[in-house]
Amino acid sequence: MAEQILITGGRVIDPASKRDEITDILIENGRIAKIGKIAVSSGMTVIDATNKIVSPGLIDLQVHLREPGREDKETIETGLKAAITGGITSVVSMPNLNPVADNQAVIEFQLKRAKELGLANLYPTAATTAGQKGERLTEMREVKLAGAVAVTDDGVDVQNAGLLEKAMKWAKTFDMPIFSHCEEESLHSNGVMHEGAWSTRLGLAGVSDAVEDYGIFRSLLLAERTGAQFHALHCSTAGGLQMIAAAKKRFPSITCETCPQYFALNDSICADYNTNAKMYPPIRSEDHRQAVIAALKDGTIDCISTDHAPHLLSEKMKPFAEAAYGSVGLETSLALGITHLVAPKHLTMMQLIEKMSTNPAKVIKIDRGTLRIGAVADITIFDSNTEWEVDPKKFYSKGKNCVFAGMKVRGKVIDVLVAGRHIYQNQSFVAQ
Amino acid sequence: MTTSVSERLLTIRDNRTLSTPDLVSIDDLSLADCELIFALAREFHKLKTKKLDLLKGKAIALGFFESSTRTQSSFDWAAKQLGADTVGVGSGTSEKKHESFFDVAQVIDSMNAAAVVIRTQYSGLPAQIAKYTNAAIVNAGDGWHEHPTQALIDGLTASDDFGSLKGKRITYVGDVLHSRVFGSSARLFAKLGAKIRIAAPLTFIPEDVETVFGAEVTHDIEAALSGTDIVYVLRVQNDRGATGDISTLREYSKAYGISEQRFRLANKNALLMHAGPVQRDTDIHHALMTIPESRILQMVENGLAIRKAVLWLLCTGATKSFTRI
Repeated sequence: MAEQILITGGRVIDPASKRDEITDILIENGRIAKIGKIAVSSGMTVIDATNKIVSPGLIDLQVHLREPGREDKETIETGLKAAITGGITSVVSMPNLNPVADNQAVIEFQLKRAKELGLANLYPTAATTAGQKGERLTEMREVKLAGAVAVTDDGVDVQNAGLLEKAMKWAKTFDMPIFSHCEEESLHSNGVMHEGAWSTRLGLAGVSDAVEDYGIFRSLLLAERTGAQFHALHCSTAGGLQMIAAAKKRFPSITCETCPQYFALNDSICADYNTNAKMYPPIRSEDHRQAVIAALKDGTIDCISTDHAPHLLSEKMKPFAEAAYGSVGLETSLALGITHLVAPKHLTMMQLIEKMSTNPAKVIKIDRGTLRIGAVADITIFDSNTEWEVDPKKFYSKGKNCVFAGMKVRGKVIDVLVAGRHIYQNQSFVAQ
Repeated sequence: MTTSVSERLLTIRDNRTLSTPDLVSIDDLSLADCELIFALAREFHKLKTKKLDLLKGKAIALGFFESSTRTQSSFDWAAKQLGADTVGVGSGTSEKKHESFFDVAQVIDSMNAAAVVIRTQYSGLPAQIAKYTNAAIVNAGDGWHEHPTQALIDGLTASDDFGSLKGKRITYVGDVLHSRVFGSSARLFAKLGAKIRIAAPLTFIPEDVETVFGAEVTHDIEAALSGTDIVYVLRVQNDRGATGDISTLREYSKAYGISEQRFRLANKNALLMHAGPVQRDTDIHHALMTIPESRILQMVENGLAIRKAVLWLLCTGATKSFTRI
C-alpha cells in the first residue's frame, strides 16, 4: 500500500492549471494523485487545511547560502530550513561562494549536502566567468552536467560587453539560462545607496538608476542578438523595467524578477544610517517602487525572489559606507507579498503564487511549481490572515540582518511538504 | 573674577538645556537651541581664552579619525578653557587592531566621558554611535554629511553683522557635493529664514538638492552672485573624492574662483565667508582675504566660542537613553 497523505478543505490555488477552489488533494508516493472531494480512508495521513491556502511550494531564484566558504554566515542547512519556514521548497543558490561555484566540484558538493539534509530542494547556479572575475568563460557544459541550472556572475555584472556577448552565446550553446545582476560599474563611484533626495540628505554617495538601466540595456541588446535565455535579477528601476517590457514583446524568452525590498520599501528606510537597508541594487525612491509594483501588475516582472543575503551583525555594525550589502529574506517573502501586493489588491493571490512558484520553475526549466495531477508534491500551506511582527531573533537563518525587522506582516506558513514528505508541520520541523 | 564670569554665563543660560542630548546634525536643534548657543557664544567670545571651571571634573574625548587642524585645536582648547580634561583617541591603534568604531566609543564611554567629539570620513558614523553611548556625541564633521558646529559659527558670524537673517540670501559657491560644511550651513541658514542659492559646475551639484535644501541652483556664477548678501566659498575637496569632477583646478578657478570683480557683483556690504582651509587663488583670490567684508578669520575666532557653548550645554544637559551592543 502506497503512502497516502490527504490535504483536506484548503483553498487550492494552482496558477499552472488555473485552479482556485476549496477542495482536497491526495498525495501518493510523493506525487499528486487526485484533486477533488476525497473521502478519508484508513491509513491516510490527514492534513486539515481548512481556512488555509494550499499552494505549490515556492521557488526562490536568488539565494545566498554561503556554504562552502562562509559557514559563519549561513550553511546549506540553516538556509534551507529558513526557506522551508518561508514556504520555499526550492532554492536556487548563487555562486559567490568560496571557492566560487564555477566548477563541478562546488556544484556537486552543494547537491550532495542538500540531499543528505532532505529539506528544501537545492538548485545551484554556476558563475558565468571563472572566479566571477569577468575574464574568461566558465565551463558551462561541465557545470550543467553536474547539476547547475543557470549561470550568473551574481553580485557583479560582466563589465566587458564583448565577453558578455560570448558568455551568452556559450550559454545558449549548452541551453543554459543566464542570469544577470545588471550594473554599469563606471557610472557610480562607490555609491552605497540610491542616488536621490535621501542620499543628498544623508551625505552618502549615490547609485543612480542609470547604473542599472545601462546594465539592463546592454544585457537586453546582447540577449536579443544572441538568442540567449536571459533573466534579469532583482530589477529595481522604472527605466530598466520599461526596456524589459519592450524587449519581451520582441523576445518572449526574456524574464525578470524583483524582490520584496523593491516593492515594499523606499529609500527613506536608509534614514538614521540603517545599515540593514544597505543592499545592491539599492532600495530606490518611491517613484521606482511604484514602477516596480506597476510592472508586477502588468506582468513585466515574472518572478519574485529574495536575494537572501545573510551577514554577521559585526559586518553590519559599521559606518554605512563600509557595511556589508544585503538583507536576509527567505522567511519573510511570502508574507511581504501578501501584505504589500495582495492585501492592497495589486495582485491576486494566484498571481502572487504564479510569480513565486510557477514562473520561477519555468525560468530554470524544472518540473515543479504546480499542483497538477502527477506533479511532484512540493506543497506550501499557509494562513493568509495571521498577523505577525518580523523578529530576526526567531529566524532559522543565521543571518539576523533583516531590513524588515520590527515590521508587521500578514501570512504565516503552517505546513510544508517536499516531494510528499511532510517536513514542516504546524509551524515546526518534524524530527527526521 | 572667575565667579562673576561664571555667574554671568549662568544668568544668560537661565537653567536652559538643549532639546537634544547629542549634536550630530543641525536638524537636532530647535530655533530656541540655536539662539541659546548664540547668546552663550557671544559671552564666551568676550572671554577669549580665559580659564573657567564650568566643566571641571568632566572628561571629553576627541575622536578625530580624520586629520584636522582648526577644528581639533578649537574643540580641545574650548574644552580645556572650560575646565574639562581631554584625551585624543582618534589616532590610536584600535583601527589597526580591527576594533570597530562602536566598540571604541563604548570603551571611551565606559570611562565616564561626558562628551565624545567625532571627526570621520564616514557620513553618519556620529549618528550611528550616538545610540550606544551615555556620553554626548558631538559631530565635528562626518564625510559629506554635516559639520554642525561650523554652521553655528557661520550663523553667529552672519547674525553679528545682519541681526536677523530672515530673507538674506546666502550663495554657496563650489564643491557642494562633497561638502559637509554646506550640509550643515544650508540646513542652519534655512532654519534661520535665509534664502539658499548654489553656484557650481553640474558635477558638484548633488541630486535633488533643490528639494532637500530648498535651494536655487545655477551653474552661472555671475548671475548667482547678484543679489547675494553672503558669498560662502566651498573648497574643492580633492581629499574627499572631487578629483575627476573637474577638468583642472586652473579652469575651475577661472570659472568659479571668487575674484574681487566677481565679489563686487554681490550686494553692497555682502560678507565673504569660507570655513577653511582656504586654497588661495583657487577658491578665493589672494587679495580678497583681507578685505573688510571677509569674515574668514573671525569665523575661526567664533569657533572657539561656539564650541564652548555647545560643550557646556551638552555636558550639562538632559540625561540620555542609550543601549549597549
